[in-house]
Amino acid sequence: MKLYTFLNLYRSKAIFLTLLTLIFSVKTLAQPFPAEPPISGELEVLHVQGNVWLIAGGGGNIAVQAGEQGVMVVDTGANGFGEEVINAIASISDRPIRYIVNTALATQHIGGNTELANLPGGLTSGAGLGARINVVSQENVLFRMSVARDTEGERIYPQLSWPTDGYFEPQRGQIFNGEAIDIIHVPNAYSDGDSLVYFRGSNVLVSGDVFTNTSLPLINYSLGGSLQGSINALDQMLDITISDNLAEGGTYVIPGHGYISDEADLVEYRDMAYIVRDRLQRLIVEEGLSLDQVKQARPILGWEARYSRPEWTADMFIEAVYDEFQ
Amino acid sequence: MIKQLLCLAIFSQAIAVHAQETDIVGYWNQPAPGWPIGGEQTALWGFLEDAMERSDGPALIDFLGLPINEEGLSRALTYDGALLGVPEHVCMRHPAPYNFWGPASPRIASQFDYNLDVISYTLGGTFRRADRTIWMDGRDHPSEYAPHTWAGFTTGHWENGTLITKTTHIKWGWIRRNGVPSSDQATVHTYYQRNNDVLTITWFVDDPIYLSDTFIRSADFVVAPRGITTASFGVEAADSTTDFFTECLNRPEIARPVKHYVPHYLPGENPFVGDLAEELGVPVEATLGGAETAYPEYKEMLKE
Repeated sequence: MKLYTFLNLYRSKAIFLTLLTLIFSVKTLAQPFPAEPPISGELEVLHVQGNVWLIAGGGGNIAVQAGEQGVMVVDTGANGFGEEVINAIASISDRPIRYIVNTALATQHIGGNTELANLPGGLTSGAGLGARINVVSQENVLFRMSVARDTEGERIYPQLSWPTDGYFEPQRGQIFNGEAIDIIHVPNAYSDGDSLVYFRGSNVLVSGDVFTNTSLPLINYSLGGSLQGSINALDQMLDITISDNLAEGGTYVIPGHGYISDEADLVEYRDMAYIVRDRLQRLIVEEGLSLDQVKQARPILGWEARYSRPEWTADMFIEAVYDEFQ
Repeated sequence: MIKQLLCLAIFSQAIAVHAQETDIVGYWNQPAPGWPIGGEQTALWGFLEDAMERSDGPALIDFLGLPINEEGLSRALTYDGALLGVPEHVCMRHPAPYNFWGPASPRIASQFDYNLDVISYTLGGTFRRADRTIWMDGRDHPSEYAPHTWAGFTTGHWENGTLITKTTHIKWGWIRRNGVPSSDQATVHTYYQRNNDVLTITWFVDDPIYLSDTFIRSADFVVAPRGITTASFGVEAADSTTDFFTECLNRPEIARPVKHYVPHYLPGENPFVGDLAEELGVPVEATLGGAETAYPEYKEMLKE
């Protein structure tokens, strides 16, 4: 009865969200959205600090916190790497996976959900029975995954890949493996369902696609993202990070894509987003330039060579954010 | 055969002794006026070539001779020195593509393995201590996902009495202390050559993001056998209680109404463009750098 009630509530909420998405999409249909960078396909495991490891190379970065109670996995990489990711986790710890956190609805961050979340007992050894894995995300990720359909009406995301625990509060805290962990919603950055995950004891912050060191800010307007929200999220991350003496080390940041970073790397990226926003503000709001004129003015010059890539070029970025300044 | 082996051993030993003689371990300082060179007290060295860099820093919008591309120039013109008063920036160390050019008094030590082979050198004494470890044991550079540091990750080998090193995994930074940027994709090759009491460090920066050509600089240091007890250019020494070189807490230097603030100049609004050109009597373009401004022919071209 309870499940039935939940599903009904859930369904009505999902229909409402579908309608909202459709309405929102009318405005954002023409806006490009960021495709994630190419996948290297060669998985690497790096110890970051304390109880936290990075698994890189299988799409979006995957963070793993391991201890006596088990394993928490933040993001699950791209589709098709499930087995490799499970082996990589097993190389870090033989304890069962207890939690998965999805930082956003981004294809290279939820792609391994089905395989990881449905391991019997969460055991990476392939044997045993036990508690199911709890898959946590901000509730908009759950809603969007559950309502998404392709043109033929088929589900895009199989039900087994959905989060099982969609939170709606601004911040959630829990203790796992003796470590305090904050799961923090940063609204309207890459999307409207972004989460930061901060492992307090290990002093490692996991950003998802709110911060990468491979791309211009990844903003998906069709999922509720925005440039200003991205900058706010980067500032919020800077409020969490504390560098060690002389601007190095201290809090480490696992970005959505790219190398392990610290506050100074985050500052560099935030400064770029801040300056690009100010340049766009002047060109679009103060000078009233058209989209083509703004592109010709090259407001991202200084970072184009570093961050513009075929899947998310400087021009695509400008096209996407232009309306935000109107 | 035994004789040959013995000769080889002696020859190897001789090479080892020679290498030791030209080794770089010890204390080094910037050549200053009156500093004795080669035991001659009369030698007068000052901060001639590097006076600006080694003391107060270069003039604003002085990019002459720097092979920056349009991306590098755009960022350099965006730079506002007020950035150094922002908490997130105030403690940044001088990075590997720059730090021998700025204030520096290197202290170099070596570390041995069980067989007394040098497995690494450590080099400290650059501004805010981006201490560099030079790995000599043939190890690989780290994964592309490994953190970047101000010093970067360095490996090296000796070649004809010169220590040659390669540095990667460097943080975003600068090649000149007036906002000319270096990226996290830069690679630095450094050559350490000792000639008696002078250590010449030459470095080559290749940066696919901001440079159109290799950026090359060298800096001389003189031996300081009693150790470095004072730092140059009027700032407090590393050994003093202030620890100016070695400690920094990222506190705001200017109270601002907003918590997160990034000082910068929008395109076309940098007020200092042209100041140096006027002072030197050269066209503004010359002060904006570019590979062509590094060559002597550029001077002739300006005259024409």
